[in-house]
Amino acid sequence: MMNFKDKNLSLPLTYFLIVIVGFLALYSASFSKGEINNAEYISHQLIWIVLSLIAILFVLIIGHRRLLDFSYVLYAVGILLLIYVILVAQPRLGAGRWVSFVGINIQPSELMKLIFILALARFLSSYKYQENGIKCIIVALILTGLPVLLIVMQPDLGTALVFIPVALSMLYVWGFRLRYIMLMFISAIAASPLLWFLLKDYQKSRLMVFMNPDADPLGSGYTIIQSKIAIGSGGFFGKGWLGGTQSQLNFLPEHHTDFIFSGIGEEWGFLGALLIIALFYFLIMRGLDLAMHASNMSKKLLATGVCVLIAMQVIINICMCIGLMPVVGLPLPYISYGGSAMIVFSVLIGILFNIKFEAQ
Amino acid sequence: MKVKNLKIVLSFLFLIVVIGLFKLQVINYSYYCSLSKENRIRINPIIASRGDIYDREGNVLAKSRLSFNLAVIPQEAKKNETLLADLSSVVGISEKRLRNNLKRNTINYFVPAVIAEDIPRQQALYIEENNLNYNGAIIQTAPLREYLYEESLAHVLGYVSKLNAREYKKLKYYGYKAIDLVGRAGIEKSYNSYLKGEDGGFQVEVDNRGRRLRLIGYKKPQKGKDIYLSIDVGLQNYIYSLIEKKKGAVCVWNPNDGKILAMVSVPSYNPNIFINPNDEKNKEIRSIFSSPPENSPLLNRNIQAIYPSGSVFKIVTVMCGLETQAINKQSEFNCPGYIRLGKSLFKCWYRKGHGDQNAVLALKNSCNVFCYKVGLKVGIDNLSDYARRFGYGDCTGIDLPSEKAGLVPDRHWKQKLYNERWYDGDTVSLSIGQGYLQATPLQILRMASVIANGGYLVTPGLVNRIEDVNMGVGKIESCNFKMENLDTMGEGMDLVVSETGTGKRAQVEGINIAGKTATIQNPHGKTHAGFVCFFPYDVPEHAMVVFIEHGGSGGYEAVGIAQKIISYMKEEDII
Repeated sequence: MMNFKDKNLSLPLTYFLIVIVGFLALYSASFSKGEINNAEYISHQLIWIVLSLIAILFVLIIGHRRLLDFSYVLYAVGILLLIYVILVAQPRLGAGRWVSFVGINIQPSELMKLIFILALARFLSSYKYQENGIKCIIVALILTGLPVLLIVMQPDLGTALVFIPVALSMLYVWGFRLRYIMLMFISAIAASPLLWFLLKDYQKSRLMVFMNPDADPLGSGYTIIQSKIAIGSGGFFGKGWLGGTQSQLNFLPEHHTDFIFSGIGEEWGFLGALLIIALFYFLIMRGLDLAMHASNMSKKLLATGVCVLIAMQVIINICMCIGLMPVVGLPLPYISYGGSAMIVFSVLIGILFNIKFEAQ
Repeated sequence: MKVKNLKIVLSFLFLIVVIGLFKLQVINYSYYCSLSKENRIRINPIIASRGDIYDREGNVLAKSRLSFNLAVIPQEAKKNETLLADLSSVVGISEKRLRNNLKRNTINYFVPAVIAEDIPRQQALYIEENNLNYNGAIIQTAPLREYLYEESLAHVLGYVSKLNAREYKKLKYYGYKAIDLVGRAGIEKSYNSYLKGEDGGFQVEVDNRGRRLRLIGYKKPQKGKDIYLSIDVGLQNYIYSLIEKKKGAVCVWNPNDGKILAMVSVPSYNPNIFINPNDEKNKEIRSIFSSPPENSPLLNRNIQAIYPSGSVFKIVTVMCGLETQAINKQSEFNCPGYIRLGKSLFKCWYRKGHGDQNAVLALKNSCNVFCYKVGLKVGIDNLSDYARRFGYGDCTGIDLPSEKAGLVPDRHWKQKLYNERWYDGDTVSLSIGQGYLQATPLQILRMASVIANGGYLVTPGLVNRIEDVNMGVGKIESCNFKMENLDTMGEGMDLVVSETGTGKRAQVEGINIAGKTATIQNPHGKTHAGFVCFFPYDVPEHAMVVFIEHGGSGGYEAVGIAQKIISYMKEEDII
């Protein structure tokens, strides 16, 4: 059972700091021309934060092992939801990614991130690499490939791609040789041109825009140009909280969600952006410490999966905002507006807390 | 161990992110900062109106009127798909056309781009009033050029049009904008820098939809300077109405200072077609530009068309004889109707011959033989030298663009061009203003004015004053001719317009006119007619050149037109 005595609180503290900073950023993003004009963003996000805390408590109470026990069932439900989304759901923002469930819109692909880590961790920890290597790897690849394929079909390339480094890291930690991982990685890159034919037009244009944002500055290139202007004009110290002209004057689209980091960079400058990155970095490194010292394989795999997922989302999201990567539509964990991602990532962090508290 | 490797990889990725961020926010800060200001701070220009142009009495010749332009913010047009279609139904211009204009005039996604110019006031007000239905549409006011006398003054005033892309590229560093008008010809071109005003504007903070949030700065537009010409618009219009259907040029000025009262060239064009061209106007513009150069309405024949000088050149020949003392006032030559030079025969226009002629009579009768003999006596070197002293072969220096210099032939020129020596036959041709000699009508007027004003080459000018600053008079150079010789020439020219002279048809009662007719041989058809004169003879205040293409020999048509103009001037108390 949980042991609350003598616990090191650095991990939860970091998490709370990120949530608080994120809420401040969202608050500013809801401002426009000196007044709040998107009050529902703020109130909704507050509700999500409260629900997140409940979710974390829930995980702490039932423990990650119970979650692992249910992981295959959850996996099946998740896959069905993904199929349902492809077949039925209404396109929203150019792609059908949402499922309505008792009046709440949820994004199965976000949910799948959690389920997939649980399922893969459970599967891999039940076998030993030395005994059943090849067979396990084939099954693991199928476990990964199925949701990736379904999410690509939504189509949501960014979310799909984030599964791959997570799966590879977990396989690597489980015992898979680095050289095979490299081999798979290279063959994946070699196969990527084939992916071009699977892409929707808007995705192709996003990729083209990444290569040359000025080609269509009013259309697809607009966001990336405005985002770079926002971050770049923030400078070292930033324009001050609520002082960002790019986001406050609505030059920057989606500055609540995928591009919230651009607003942070503009208003808080390089210092503020560095603080956010440092918080995430600290969170991830502490999480990986847990993986390193974990008492069994399932904890090791879970901690690894959670940390790599958070790290990849943070890196990809920021790279997207500063123009180092194409626009793929991945939210910044705990900061971007949106319930599904908020709760899923909070459950993930809850699992880390649970592993940590058990270790103490 | 494996987790540690993972940590290293992730740390490396985080490092890349931080470096990228550092580059964007610290190294390239100033670049993005300026871009962000450009986004947010917009200058809404208020276009300064161009200076007006008036005649000598203060009548308006060219002015600026207020016009309404329809502009849209490109970003809004992109978002609101139906905006252009809605606007199209209001202004009655096809959506495709509006879309093309939008594409052409887009500078930046947030800066309004004009899609329809000079729309009727009602439409402009309607769009303003129903602004909510046309989000992103903006009505801008702009001054528009208007020429009140159309064809009559076209060559004097010229016209304005917008910068083209290449010019804009060159001029943008000098504060020009893509929508700026520049003078393309005439006064509009040569005085462009005075006429052009200085645009003002509002500096405003805007949001992403281009809505004004806050005024940051304001600069008042400065109207261009008004220009007052020496032109008399009544006389100008009268002359134009006389020769409208012909081809030719007329210029009237004050021989003492070169101030031009009237300058007409036909065929002419309507400069208003260059202002906000539409389909119909474009057709006209195309036809103007596609006409052959010698028929082009854009040509100001006073200064841009060159012809052989014809008999008016006899003034130069006789003056040259007197000044070099090859002849004196009493010297006589017999005119049998021709002279023989080697194997060729050079005829006088009067086949029977004028008999004994002196300088005065030779001018009166326009005797060719007298001039042939004088020409041969003084030689080509003296003749071309005096032609140049009279201003031939050099621009007059008028304040209009693209003046032609004409040509005075000499030995050197012929050797160089034809690799041939100069023959006496060439001298004979030159002495009556034929052959290689080429001059503009204005050069001829300037030459005749030397006789009228007592031996001075004046610089023509069209502008009396700019705002309150008097332009003064252009350069006046003495030709260093002897007064008595000038008087002899004047006497001869006075007799030209007498009962028995070649220009008697120019006579106007009560005004003593001195002049000289010209027949300009034209290899392509009927001879051109020329007439140059000054009046009143005793105290010359006006000089005039009339040049009519295919106007008949002996200056027939030109003399008649001159007579009408002088009568008009007398009636209108201009003389």
